Amino acid sequence: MPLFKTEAIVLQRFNLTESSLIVTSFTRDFGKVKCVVKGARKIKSRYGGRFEPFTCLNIIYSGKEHQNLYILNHCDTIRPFYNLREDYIRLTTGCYFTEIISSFTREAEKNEELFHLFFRALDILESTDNISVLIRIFEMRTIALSGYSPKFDSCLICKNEPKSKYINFHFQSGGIICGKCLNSSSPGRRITLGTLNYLKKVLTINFSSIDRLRFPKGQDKEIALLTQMYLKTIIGRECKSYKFIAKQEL
Amino acid sequence: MKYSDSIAKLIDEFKRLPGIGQKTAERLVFFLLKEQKDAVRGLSEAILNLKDKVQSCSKCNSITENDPCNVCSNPKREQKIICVVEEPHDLYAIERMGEYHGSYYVLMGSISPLEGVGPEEIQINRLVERVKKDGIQEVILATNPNMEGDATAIFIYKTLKSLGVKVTRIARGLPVGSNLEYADEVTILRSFEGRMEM
Repeated sequence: MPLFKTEAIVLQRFNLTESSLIVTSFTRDFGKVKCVVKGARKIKSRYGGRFEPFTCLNIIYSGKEHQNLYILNHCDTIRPFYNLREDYIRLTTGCYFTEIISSFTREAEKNEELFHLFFRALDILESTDNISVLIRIFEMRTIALSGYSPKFDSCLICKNEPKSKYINFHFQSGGIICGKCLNSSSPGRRITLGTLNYLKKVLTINFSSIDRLRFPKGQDKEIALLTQMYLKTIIGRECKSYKFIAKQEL
Repeated sequence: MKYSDSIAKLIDEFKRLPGIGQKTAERLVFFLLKEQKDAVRGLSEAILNLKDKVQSCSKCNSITENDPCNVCSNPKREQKIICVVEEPHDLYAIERMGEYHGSYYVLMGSISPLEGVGPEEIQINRLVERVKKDGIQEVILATNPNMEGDATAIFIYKTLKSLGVKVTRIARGLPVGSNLEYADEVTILRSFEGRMEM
């Protein structure tokens, strides 16, 4: 039986038996992978608490290629991201990131860039105070890296660069309709040109400059609502963990 | 040949229990068929009594036959100290230790953002009311040392902080009889944080 070796970030774990777990993780080389971990629930297990969500591991697992469930043979911790579990806002935000990754990834579909984005986002989440901006960056970049990159540069109808104060964002096609082409029956959600410029920044800003980006009051809610609606259009449902973040002052 | 209606029905009922499939259910039914009538009646009465007599304690939410439960109505127990646990079986695990003499509060679950279970779904509000009403001096958080247990503990701490009550959490670290060599990094870190002078 072939062995697979890769880096993985734990997304979710479920009890299988009195002593075993099923661990779902997002791996760097093989996309989402589900493994049975025998003996992981025993109090004296050699795995300890390594299968808590957000933990980044080096794993070795075995099984036939493209099957649904593998057997985990070995793991070592790379980064436990335990600081996320010390603060309610960071913990719930980490859960939200985890749920987004789980929704956008599939078994055996490698997406190395998305893996690096997830790792980097968890890394920054441990220390940054600018959590609301980090959430927006993570949402938009995950959407972009999963093949749904929004088209902000030109109007879907006239193909020109938008210059008017108001524009519409069309969720189904992931593009904008400029002020000139807009009419009362235009689909999508109306946003300001200022919001559009912030959304462009969110897609391009370097993670190390995150603390320098602040959304103006009022615009932050508009951006949050827009990214949420776009996410919902793509994954077809609302993220369960988002309600935990929405209730908090970030 | 199909099973008779009575046998098939009992097999279906057993299959509803956790961890029991078709084969195990069949084995249990044929075991009961061989048993004396009194033994089977005893089993069925025990199951019915479970639903008729067992209820949750109005003070601590634990499973009891008397309301309030034996712990809440015991004058020898320290009622100003509450140990908060996730599930009733956690309470029994602490009671087996035999060294804790305070009272309890059972949340009947834990906060799980990934499952969409929030503070409203578990009974935190009643805990806050009890802390205010009974003048509680210490709340010991004995939630599980996993992500859901941590989320629950932090949320309760945030909620109770403003009431001025002492909030503590049970120590996390190496299990007795284990090997340091196999412990994960977070467990070793918690063990060092919780080290005690000898």
